[in-house]
This record gives sequence, C-alpha cells and structure tokens, in this order.
Amino acid sequence: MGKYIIKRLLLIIPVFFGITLITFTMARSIPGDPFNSEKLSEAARQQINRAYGLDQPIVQQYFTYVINFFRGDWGPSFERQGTAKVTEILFGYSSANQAASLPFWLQVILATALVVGISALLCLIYARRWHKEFWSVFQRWLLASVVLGIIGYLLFFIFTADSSQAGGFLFSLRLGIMAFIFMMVVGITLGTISALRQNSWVDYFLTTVALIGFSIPSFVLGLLALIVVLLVNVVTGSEFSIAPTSPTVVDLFLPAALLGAREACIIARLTRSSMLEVIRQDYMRTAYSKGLSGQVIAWRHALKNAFIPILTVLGDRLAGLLTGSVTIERVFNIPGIGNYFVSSILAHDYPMILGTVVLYAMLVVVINLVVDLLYGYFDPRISYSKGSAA
Amino acid sequence: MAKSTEERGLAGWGETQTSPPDKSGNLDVLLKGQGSRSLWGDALKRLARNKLAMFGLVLVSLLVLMAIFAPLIARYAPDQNFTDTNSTKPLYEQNYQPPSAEHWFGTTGQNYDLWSRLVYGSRISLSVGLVVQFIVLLIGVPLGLISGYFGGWFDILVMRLTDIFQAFPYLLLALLFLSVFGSSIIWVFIAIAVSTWPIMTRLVRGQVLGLKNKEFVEAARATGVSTPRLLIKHILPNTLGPIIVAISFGVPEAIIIEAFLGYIGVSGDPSAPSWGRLVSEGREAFQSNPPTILLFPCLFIVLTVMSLNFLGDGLRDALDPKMIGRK
Repeated sequence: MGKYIIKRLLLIIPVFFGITLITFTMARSIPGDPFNSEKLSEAARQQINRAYGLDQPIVQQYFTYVINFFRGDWGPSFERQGTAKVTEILFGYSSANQAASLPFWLQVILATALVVGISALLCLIYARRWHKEFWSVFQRWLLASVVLGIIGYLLFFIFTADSSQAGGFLFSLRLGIMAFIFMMVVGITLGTISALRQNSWVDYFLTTVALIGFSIPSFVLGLLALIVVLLVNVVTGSEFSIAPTSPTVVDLFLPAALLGAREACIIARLTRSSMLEVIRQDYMRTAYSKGLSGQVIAWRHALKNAFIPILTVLGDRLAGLLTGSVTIERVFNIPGIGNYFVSSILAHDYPMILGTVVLYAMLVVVINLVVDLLYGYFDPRISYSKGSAA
Repeated sequence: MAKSTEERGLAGWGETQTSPPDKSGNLDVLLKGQGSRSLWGDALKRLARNKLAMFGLVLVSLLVLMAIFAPLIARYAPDQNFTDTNSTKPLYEQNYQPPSAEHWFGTTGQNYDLWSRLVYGSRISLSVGLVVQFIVLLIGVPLGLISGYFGGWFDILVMRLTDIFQAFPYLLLALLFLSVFGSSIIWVFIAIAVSTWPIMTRLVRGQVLGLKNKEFVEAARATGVSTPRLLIKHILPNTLGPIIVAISFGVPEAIIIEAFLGYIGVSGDPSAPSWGRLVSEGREAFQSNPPTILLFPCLFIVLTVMSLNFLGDGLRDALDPKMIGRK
C-alpha cells in the first residue's frame, strides 16, 4: 500500500510538467499580445515586457515560472495590470485578520484531533456499555474519524469563509461540492424509490425524468432556468435574480442544483439498476424470510450493497462537477475560476491561464488519488500491492 | 490504477439499464442453434425490439435528413436579412420579431430567420458529433491496440499522455486550443477530439489487455498469423461492441461541448452560426425580447442530445453481452 501511494505521488510529476508545458506553449501561441494597446509607445511596451520578464528566452521563462510556482508565487495578473497576484485572485486576499489567527494546517489538525477525541469518547462509552475492549472498538473508527475530521473541517472552512474576501477558487469549490451533495441525495433517493416500486407509474415517471434530464447539458439547463425566472418575474412583477455578482452560500443553491441535475440523473439510473440487481439476490430473500421489515431491508441490506458500483463513479463525478462548474459559472456570471479562465484567455493573461489550469488539474489528480486509496480501504477485494500495472 | 480508471471511464454508462430486453430473445440466445445467428444479427434484433431506441433512431434520422436537405427545409437562406430598407423603422425596431406564420421561430438580432438558422446549424452540430468521433477513433484505436498488445515503454508513454490529458479539464483544453488556432470548423473538430481522445484509448487498451491472453489469440499466433493481421482481424473485431457504445455516447457529448464553445463564442463562424452561437445570441437579448430567441436553440440541442442518448442506451443494452440472460 505504501509503495503504491509513493508510486501514485510520483506519477503526479509528469502530469504537472505535461499540463504546465502544454498550457504554457498554448497560452503563448494565442495570437496577440497582452500589452498591445495602441496608446503605448514602443519604449513603454518594452519596459512593461521587461518588468514581467517577457523579454527573456521562452525556455527560461518556463523554468522561472515553475520555480516560482513552487515558492507559492504564481505571478502577477496581466489583466489587472499586475495590481493583483494570481494566487490572490484564486485563493482570496489575505487580510490582517487572517494573519493573526492560527495557520491553516494547525486549524485542520486541531479540528481533526477534536473529532478523534469525540469518537474515542463515544467508543469508550460504547465499550463500557457492551463490555468490550476499548481498543478493538476504537481501532475500527480511528481512520474514519481522522478522514472525517479533515474533510469536515475543510468543508466547514469552505462554507463559512468570508465571501467578500474570497477568491474564485472558493466559489468554484462551493458550487462543485454543493452540486455533488445535490447529485448524491437526489440521485440515490430517486433511484432507490424507482427500484423499490419497479414497473409502477412512479418508476416510469422517474425513469423518464432521469432519461430526459440526462440529455440536458448543464449550461442549457441554466439558460432554461433563466427563461423560467424571467417569465415568473414578468407574471408576478418580482425582481428575482438567480445569482448576484458576489454570491453567498445561499445564492449558490440554485446554480449548484442546476449544475448537479444532469449528474443526479446519471446517479439515479445507476442506483436503480444496481438496486434491481441486488434485490434479486438470495440474501434478500433470506432477509425477508427472517421477517425483517421492508424499510430495514431496503435501506440497510439492499442500498448498502447496491452502493458499491455507485462508489466507483463518485470520484469521477466530483472531479467532473468541480471542473464542469465553468459552464454554470459562465451562464450565471459567478466569479469562479472557470469564469476567470475564460476572461484571462481573452486578455492574454498568461499567469492567470496557467494558474487556473494547474489548479483544476491538481484538483482532479488529488481527487482521483484519494478516491483510489479509499477504494482500497473500503473494498478489501481491491489490492494495490501486486499486479497493478502502470 | 489503469484498470480502475478504465472502469470508471465508462462505468457511468456500463451499469445502467433502462428497458428490459424481451425474455424470449434471451431464451433463444441461451438455447442457441435455432437458425444461424450471429452476435451482430442478434444485437440488431434486440435493438429493433427496443421502442425507445427506435424512437431515438427515427429522431436522429430526421435530424440527419434535415441537415442534408437544409436548403429545402429552411424557408430562407441563413444569412437572408429581413430588414425592410424602405421602412422608416430603424433596425432595432424591426429585429427580434416574435414567431409568426412568416417566421416560424421569429427573427434574430440581425433580423435573420431563426428557423432557417437552426436548420443550417444542425449541419454543424451533427458533423461535429460524427467527425470528432471519427478522429477519436483514428487516435484511440491504434494507440490502444498497440499499447495494450505490446506493452513496454510505448504503453507507459501512452498511459502517461492519457494521464496528462485526463487531468486537463476538457472544456478548458478545447477553449485554449481554439483561442490559439482560430474558430474555423476544422479546428473545432480537432480541439474537441484532442480533449476527449484518452477515454477511447484507455477503453481499447483495456479490452486488448483482456483479450490478448485468450485461447483464440494464442491459437491464431500458433498458426503463424502475422501480428498486424492478428491485431486487426482477430482482436479488433472483439473490441467493437464497447467501441460502438462509446461512440454512441461520444457523439452527443461532442455536440454538447461544441454548443458550449459556441456559447462562449470561440467556435464556428458567425455567418453560418452553430446552435451554440444562436444560444449565446439569444442569451444576450432574451430579457427584453421574445424569450423564444433563447428557448428554441436550447430545445434543438436538448432534442438532438436526447434522441442520440436514446439510441445509445439501446445500442448498449443490445451489445452488452452481460445483458444476455439477465433480468
């Protein structure tokens, strides 16, 4: 397992260099120049190019970028005349307030320790009550509570951070995560209901909805929602708007739901077929004959087993939603990284193009890595120690 | 790692089933021997029995006919301007006409007939869907065959390349690509193909990995079949089922990507606009004009993607050998 993790981490290196090389070359090949305003004199333009290091040989520029990237300096944003750094636009401005508080990694560790502590306490109570050895109970919960602590604190941070100071990454993360939650809740619920009532009108209705919803691209769905909002506004005379320019978490509910709707349909179809497979298994008949109630069987026995094929697509869907949020960001003008990417292309803002692409790519790589490791943990049949070809 | 990624690549499609195939058909397959039946003939029969897939097929055929015979179906040329120059009204009062008998879907901001533009736009969307998948096949099948069959450094190289391209969000890659090379239709084809080829490559490679140690391949090798012939005549036909399914879902996906690129404004040339362009034109104007200007382009995209998905669902159910004897 350890060997596998190291191998996977090493594989990030070629991906990083591949992505940055492709993006760097392509961004530089976009016809036009970042500073080609006719008002600039030739001397002034050369001075600007020198200030941003654009007069150096291209290879040297690339390596300067890579070295600075790892120092946390992703370059100045050309579009904003260098008044803002790419990291500031993407991750938010660090205010004096934040500098005074604890460093972020320490906050994560403290929160995780808290969750592990609570979990230990619960295990202690449980072990006392049922006369079991504490350690054997706690062992099973240790890793889960560490993961829960880290993810929980990250989520807490993402959704409570100050929107006015926030960078584009925060909005994209919120949008993607909310869409993911929407997808899971709606998709799995509808899929389960549909499977449990197979061939009833509820089933036909839900299957049809899922089939149609699966065919509506998210940006088209967003535009259709805009039409509906317009009609409602005209009829009722209200002034409702889907997403204001600086959206709060609540403002993002509707865009997130629209982003997640298509994926929810995919998950619903997957859940339905997987559930149908499971409820025909022999152990389901055993559960019935034991006299368990329908509810218990449906949720405890069937869904738990039906969940395995769904689990295999979740990581992919999360990565897809986080990077696919560019469509909804564009439609509703949400200041996320996707939106910044599009405008930075138009402005020849090289550091910004590179920064957004690398951020997206690293997000995808990290999610895939975490998900693959989690499979190994949750499904003991998957072994990474042998026979895992490159 | 590679395996799990491959599985995930198509897992979203692989497990869903919508319409149960007929029981009698399954029985026939299990009993076999009644009449001569090939795998493909069988799949075709199953497809023909699937009502939803047939509905999709009819719609797709209608769309294809519409694209081919666009000049007959569109009532006007896509760039015929309906501004009345003799009228005293300025252009901004004549454009954005609501749907009428003369202009079924109304007119656009430049006072073009929307229905005609949509009909001509179908040529772009459908050709994007088909050509992109053709290019993806051209890249993915040889790469997948060779890297899966021979392995070694070539396989490692191809896999690292797919890693890179799969980490690159495909919408952003296509967008970047088009902003470099310009928005002509050829580059749109290439941009979308370049952004989506890794899935096909990994699919073919995975299939080949599973097949290359099978007895029939060994037998062919033992009888002295040359390697290229072995790959093309023996292995490739056995991977066709999953490839066809992947294509049938790749076509609508490419159409969606093209529509989004058109919506951003980097795809297609404004004089013969794609559906995505029409959507973006509608987006700019729908709030103070008839909303049909945005609604109809959206509906065209949805309808096309939907009919292609119906057909794809049917194809997958018909071709997936796992379906036989199940349900």
